Amino acid sequence: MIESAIEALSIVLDPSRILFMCLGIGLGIVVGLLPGLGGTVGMSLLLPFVFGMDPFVGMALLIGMVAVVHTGDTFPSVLLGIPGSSGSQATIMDGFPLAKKGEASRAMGAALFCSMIGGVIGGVALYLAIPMAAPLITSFNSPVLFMLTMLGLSMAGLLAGDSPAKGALSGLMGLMIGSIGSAPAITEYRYTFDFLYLSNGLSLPVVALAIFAFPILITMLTHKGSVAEANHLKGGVLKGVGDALKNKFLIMRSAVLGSLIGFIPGLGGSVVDWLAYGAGKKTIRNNQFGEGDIRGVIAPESANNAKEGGSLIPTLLFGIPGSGTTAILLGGLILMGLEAGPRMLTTDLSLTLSIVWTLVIANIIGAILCMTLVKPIAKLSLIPGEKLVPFLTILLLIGAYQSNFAWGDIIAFIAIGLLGYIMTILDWPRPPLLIGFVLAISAERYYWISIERYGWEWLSNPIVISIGVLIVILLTGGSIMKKISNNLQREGV
Amino acid sequence: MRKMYALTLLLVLNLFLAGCQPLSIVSSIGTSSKEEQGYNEDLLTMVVPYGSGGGTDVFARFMAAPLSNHIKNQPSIQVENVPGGGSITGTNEYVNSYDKDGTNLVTTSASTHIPYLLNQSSVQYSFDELTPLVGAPTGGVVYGSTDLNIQDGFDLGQVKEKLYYAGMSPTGLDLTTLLSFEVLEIDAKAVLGYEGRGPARVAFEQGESNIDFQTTTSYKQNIEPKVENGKAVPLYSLGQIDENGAVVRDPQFPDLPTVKEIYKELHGSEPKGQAWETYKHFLNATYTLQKVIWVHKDAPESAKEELKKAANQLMKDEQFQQKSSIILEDYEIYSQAELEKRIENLEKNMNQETINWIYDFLLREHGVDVRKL
Repeated sequence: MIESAIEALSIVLDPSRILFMCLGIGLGIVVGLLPGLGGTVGMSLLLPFVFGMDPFVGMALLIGMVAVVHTGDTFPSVLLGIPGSSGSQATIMDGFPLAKKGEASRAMGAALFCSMIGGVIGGVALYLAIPMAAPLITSFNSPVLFMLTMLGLSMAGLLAGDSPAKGALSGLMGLMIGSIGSAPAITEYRYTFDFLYLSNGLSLPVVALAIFAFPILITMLTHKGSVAEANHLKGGVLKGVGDALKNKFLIMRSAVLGSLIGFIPGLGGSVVDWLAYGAGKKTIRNNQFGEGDIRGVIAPESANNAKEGGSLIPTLLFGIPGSGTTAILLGGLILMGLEAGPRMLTTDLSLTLSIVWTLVIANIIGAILCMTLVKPIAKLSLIPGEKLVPFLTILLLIGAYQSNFAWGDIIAFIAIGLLGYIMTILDWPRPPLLIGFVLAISAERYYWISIERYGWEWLSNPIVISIGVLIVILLTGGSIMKKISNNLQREGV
Repeated sequence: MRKMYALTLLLVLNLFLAGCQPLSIVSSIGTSSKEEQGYNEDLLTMVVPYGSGGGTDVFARFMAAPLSNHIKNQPSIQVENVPGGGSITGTNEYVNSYDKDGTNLVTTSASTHIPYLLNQSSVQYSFDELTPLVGAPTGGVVYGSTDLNIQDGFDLGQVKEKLYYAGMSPTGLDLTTLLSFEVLEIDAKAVLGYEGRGPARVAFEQGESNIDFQTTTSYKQNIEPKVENGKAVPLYSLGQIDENGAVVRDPQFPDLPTVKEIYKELHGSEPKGQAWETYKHFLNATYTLQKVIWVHKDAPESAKEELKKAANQLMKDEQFQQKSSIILEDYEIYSQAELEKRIENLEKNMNQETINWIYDFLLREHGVDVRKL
């Protein structure tokens, strides 16, 4: 394995391939940077070009792009409070408050550094998982997958903020929005009102953009003034890197979590940033998550780049795409004359290993490139909001329209956006809604399959029971722990 | 002010990226007076009613260049993805709002054909309004777990264990396999709702299902190694429909018996009845005619002639045959005349009796009321 890895490195370092990788990186950063455009758009842009390309060159291009989308998408999340792609929503929670304090560069520095480390860890995870991928993937049967979606949903509770009831309601609303369209098992349409547009359900970019970005646009108009309340920007990139280095353990944890979730097929890697954020919030003592805690940037940013490495495992070895991006990647493979499957471990092993290297190298190059861009781009946070709004509105509408190229996209964007605005006014947490939306179909799918296949027997599966116990601890343990620590504090210990 | 420039630049860049997308809303640049000039285009549009990167999109993109090589003027063929509604949206849009001047083509697939055959209310297209140009088949193999303790498909009558089948949806590609179970009276519990054929295959590996099917390439790539290791047993192939409408062995799996042969072995007679007729009908539309490239039937004759000629030349193009083996899974495309005949036969076989039977079957076995879709 190690020998072939070194051989693959020499293939990757061939100048022509490096050139294509850099092209990919450039595009990846741009689509990440533009709010609303993400990996899926980047992939569809590149797809026509990979046709008939040498697989090593083509993969350098595609993977180079995928690897850095979540590096570039940090900019709008931190600077404007608008998700750069659907994978960087959690970064907003603390990144945006930091930008308001004028510490955008610091937040960006930490985020980019974590993206880099996270991406490298994701690549390593892909490498380590190669020999044992097959038994690992087949160990997740439908009841276990169902319990994992429940675990994800229970995270919504952690992100609920002060009022658990509002959080739960918001999560339920997300589940309902997620159930629009055709049911997973039976051909049956729900809440479609005979609109063909709704029959496939709403797409994630539309909902994610609307729920987070739309309210920001209105706030920018009403609260005249720039994002940063301070007049000058303090703290530099290096300070952020320093912050990140102080939280080495958090980066590691979040990155491992990220690659694990990416790896589990069918769980919807798009909530990975929220899960890492929630886990961080739960496990770090004395945190001020939500008010501009740098650790609230570090956790999701380490996880979302690491996810890509993990999600390539089921894609390449089983032909099971975990996201829209990897689904297009599968098409790209065919256009280059390859087919995902067990052969990626035997005859095409060197290609698989070259993908690992590309991931690692692209993450490093991408992060360094972005760091040089921080200084000029961070000034965006000094521009008065009302001047930014027209540009952002068009960008966001284009982003939403990219999902299906239908008028419905724009109508859905505005409708969900208004819902998001109402939720901000009423101070309802929005992350649970998004988690509910993403997990709705998976939860329903695996619940249905579990019951159809095993009756109620599956409830006695030991893994199901242990995940169930974990969920209960997560939901109740927090409040118990808080009480204990409050008591201790009161007693002055 | 400099910041504003930067923003404008971003905006322009974004518009540019959006414009670059192959699915941009560029309508055909055809002119009205081409009838007299003959067919002399330099840009054709190929509508793909699926998102980028899927099987049909890859097929369309692959076919674009070789097809164009045989058309006069060698026009570039621009792929335009119109996803949504399980391919109904894009196909509806093609027949309703694209110019019928011979510059717009559309690529459809089994999941476009099934809602049409089922007469779903959202379908506004009809094979009557379209002229087929290029068509390609795929195949399917049903295989079982070695735990069933059978050697081949002929032993299916002796299976003692409960059979579980993992699939996606009763009105998708699974339908043909489910119909084959109905014909053979295999009592398999269909657990539907999986995300795709890949996850269904993983379910088979986990033991969540013990009878499954895969299409040609996926079977060769993923299941044949398992057969060699003694972890799976091939049972039967779904077969192909020949020019006369009979079920024949799949050219890619000449050693595997078809549903028809298994039935004969199990029941001692040729299969007949409405279930068998319906099976053949859907086998034809979903496998034998899996991917079809069409042009509006109302397009000018000169355009249709030119396109038909190109499609026929494509079949003889040796370079194309070499390059296309992966995309076409080693099957051969049909000649245009043959394809047209096959589509005509398909239309002829569609009758109210078959539709009623399939409605009843879907409602009874899978709780789907097609009338309400």
